[in-house]
Amino acid sequence: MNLVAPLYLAALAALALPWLLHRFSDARPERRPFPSTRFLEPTPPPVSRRRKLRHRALLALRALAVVALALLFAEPWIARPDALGNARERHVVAIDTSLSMRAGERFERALEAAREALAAVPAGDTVQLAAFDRDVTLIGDEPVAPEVARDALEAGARRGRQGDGPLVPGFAAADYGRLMQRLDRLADDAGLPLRATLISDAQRTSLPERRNALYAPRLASLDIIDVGAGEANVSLVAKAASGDGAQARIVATLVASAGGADDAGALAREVVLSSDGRTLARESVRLEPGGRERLVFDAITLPESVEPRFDVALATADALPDDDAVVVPVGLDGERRVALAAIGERATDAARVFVTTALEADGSASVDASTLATGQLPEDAWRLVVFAALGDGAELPAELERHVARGGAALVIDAGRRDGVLDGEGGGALVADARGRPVGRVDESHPLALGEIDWSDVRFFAPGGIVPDERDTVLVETADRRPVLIERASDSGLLLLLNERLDGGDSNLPFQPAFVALMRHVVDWFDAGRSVPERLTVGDPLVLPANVQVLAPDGSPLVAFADTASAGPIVLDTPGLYTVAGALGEQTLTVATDPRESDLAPIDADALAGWRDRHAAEPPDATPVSEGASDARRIRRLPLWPFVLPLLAALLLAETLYANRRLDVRRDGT
Amino acid sequence: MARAATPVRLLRPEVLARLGTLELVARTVVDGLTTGLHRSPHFGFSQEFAEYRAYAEGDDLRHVDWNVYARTDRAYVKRFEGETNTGVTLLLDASASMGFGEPISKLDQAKWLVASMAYMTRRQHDALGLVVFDDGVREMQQPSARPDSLPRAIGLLERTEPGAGTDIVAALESLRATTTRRGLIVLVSDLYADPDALIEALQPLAHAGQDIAVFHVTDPAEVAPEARRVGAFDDLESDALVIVDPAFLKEGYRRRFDAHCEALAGACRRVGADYRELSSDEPLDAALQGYLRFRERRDR
Repeated sequence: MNLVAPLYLAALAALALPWLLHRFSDARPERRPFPSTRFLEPTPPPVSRRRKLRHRALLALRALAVVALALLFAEPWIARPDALGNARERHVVAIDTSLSMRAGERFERALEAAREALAAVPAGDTVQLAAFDRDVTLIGDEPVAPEVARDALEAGARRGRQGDGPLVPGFAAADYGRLMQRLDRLADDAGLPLRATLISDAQRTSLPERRNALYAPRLASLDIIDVGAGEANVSLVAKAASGDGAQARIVATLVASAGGADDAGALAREVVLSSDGRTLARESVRLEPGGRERLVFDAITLPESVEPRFDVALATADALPDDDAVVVPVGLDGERRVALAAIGERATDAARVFVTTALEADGSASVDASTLATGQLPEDAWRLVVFAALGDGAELPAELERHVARGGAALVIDAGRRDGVLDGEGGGALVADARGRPVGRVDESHPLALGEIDWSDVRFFAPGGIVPDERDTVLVETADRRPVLIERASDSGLLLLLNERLDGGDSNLPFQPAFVALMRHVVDWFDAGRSVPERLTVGDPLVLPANVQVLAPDGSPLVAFADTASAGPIVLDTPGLYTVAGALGEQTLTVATDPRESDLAPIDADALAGWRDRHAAEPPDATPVSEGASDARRIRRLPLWPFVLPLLAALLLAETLYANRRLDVRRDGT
Repeated sequence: MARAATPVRLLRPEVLARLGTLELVARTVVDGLTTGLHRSPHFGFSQEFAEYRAYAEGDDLRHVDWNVYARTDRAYVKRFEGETNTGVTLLLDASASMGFGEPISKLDQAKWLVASMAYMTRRQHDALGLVVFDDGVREMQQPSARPDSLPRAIGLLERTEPGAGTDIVAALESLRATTTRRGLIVLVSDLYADPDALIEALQPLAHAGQDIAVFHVTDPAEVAPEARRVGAFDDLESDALVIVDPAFLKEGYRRRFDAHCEALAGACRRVGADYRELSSDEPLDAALQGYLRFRERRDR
């Protein structure tokens, strides 16, 4: 047994205390008054009895407790033979598993380089394998012997060939800065000199913006093995749109790598447009290294499908096939469908016409008024313009509350009847000679961009019936501070209240260009506030609204309805077309590869050399490990305090029980 | 026919200690006691029948002897010795050993007993005398039937504190030298005296026709002292310091003390005196009632 702090053994001198206590505690008799000693006979205990130790078991318990306490502070440990205890250094072999490692034979070369790196690790040192892209994944919980690491590498490679495990290139982008900072923390925790071997394609676009993040000062050395081959690569992205629902316009953008072995000449590529396996068009293009070209396939007839999609791909796959083909869903221009509905009150014909005309001006939206006459809200519509009676403090209709709670957006127009008109008479009719009140204040900070609208000619003749409450924010109000446009706060959806009947009697707003602009801004704001975007890059977090289901490109469910209520942001790490299904219908979400990974240009030689040089290893003899320290590391210390501490507790407990029972002495001194 | 048990209030010493003055203690003890005994026509220290006298107006009809009236057609009233102004002398031991006992000392209990008896004596219009002694007579109040005899006795008791050693024989001899009339002598002491010497001191008084009652006041810690360790016992009446093993206290001391008590009781019997042990934790009214009943039975 060894001791970390043997000086604490001096506390064993305290053993004298219990000995003295037991030897002399009873030596002085207790003096007490007594009425008469005539019947008392002097009977002092014999000398031998007075001098002998009493309660020896208790003395033993107390002495052992003192010994245990001293040992506890002295931190005893025993040496335990440990093969890994011989390690003088620790090694980390980090393999790049980003998208660019799918190019050519890069990953196979990386595995081979890893085997060589592991073979070069001195026997007795320990190794930890790691895979990295934007994150670093350690393979195995603890550093292991080199031969164990080699087995783990082969096992990981086998699983990787089946598309499983961390040792397979994914679709995310690498981040050398995050890798180096993680290695720096590992070096801090290792307790041994940490030598890192980084096996990567040394991609220029994986360098961090702040180059200082590449510096890991606690690393003993850094070796960078470049497995890139300077291949040329062209990536492809495309977007399709249809203006009339019959024909589509597909725009494909091709980007060439900035560097590569054959960057001396232009890259010739042929782009094929197809649908359901049928080739619809071909276009050839030549790209300069680092260049960008745009191809337009116009007037392409939409396939007969509910969800028309096109396949756009390079005719011949190049170095990185994963960015050579995309599936493009067709979005319909002007398809922003807005449903009109009425609850309780019928919308006046004038109001319906004004709203429809404003929404469909410039083809910015299409109006669906099919459910207007039913008095109910359409189930699958997301954008709503609703006529409802909200005046005199009336509550929002429950179905409208549900629509917003499901993440829907609605503009509610107060269609309630009002008996009086502030200016003039006429029961709601436009008063020709009334001057009306202009707009007095507009909330220009709101994303509705209301400050861009010219409100100068708008006049309000009658006050609205809606009285804002604590949940509301008034966005537009008249000069006499009467609210016109109100936003009601909601955790899920978007809700605007227009304090105006839009029948031409309350104001001249429907006749003014400001109304058309207001409707367009409202629909734009609705779309901008949609919680699920249409396009993401692999690795971007996706924040999901409650009660939706996410389907992978192959149709398998990724996130169930019940899970989204409590789930945090999710990361989609495979490119493709995902489907987000919720109460308000389905939405297609395009997850694209990270364009940084498509640029296979390597890091400049000078920059790479500078990176290496900052972590240049010192000669092995420069910082020799002392022999004593080396010996200390050949054994693993097994601390004994986990055994001593319970022993001490047990001794104290036994001492307490014994003292209370046998001495009839309580701890409070009575 | 068995007599019904007389209710006793059981005034524990700690209750009496809260009453404050001795007079109040005496009134509380005696009034409660006589309330419980009011059906007894022969209550008092002086129970001996003396003579008949003709009934006079104002006499208590309870004392009319109806048997004589039936035979003679004349009313006669019984007269007891108590009505002849018997002298009652109370001797209180105020030695240092009487100060032993917590929280109620033997002297406290003894003072309450003496005060109660003094009150009872004056209620019966007997002459009251009081002697306070330790190793000599500290105070002596000759028997007197004057109304102020009780307040004087109470005042004397109030002032009494534990003093020096004990010399009961000297106190009794002093009493004998000054007492000429027959009466009742009550000795209240812890009786740290030689039983033979006590016999010699009591015998002349008994021969002189004195009725003697001895109250032996003890304390539980004195009767059965407890000690877990070797103790040094400090004699309250001398400078003696005795180191005693707990084992001796359990056996030897108890045996010796019990033998002493037996010897004292035997000595009292030999001179015809009443002997009664009174513990300092004993309810005083119960002890007093027990003793009076004993006297009643003895005199019957």
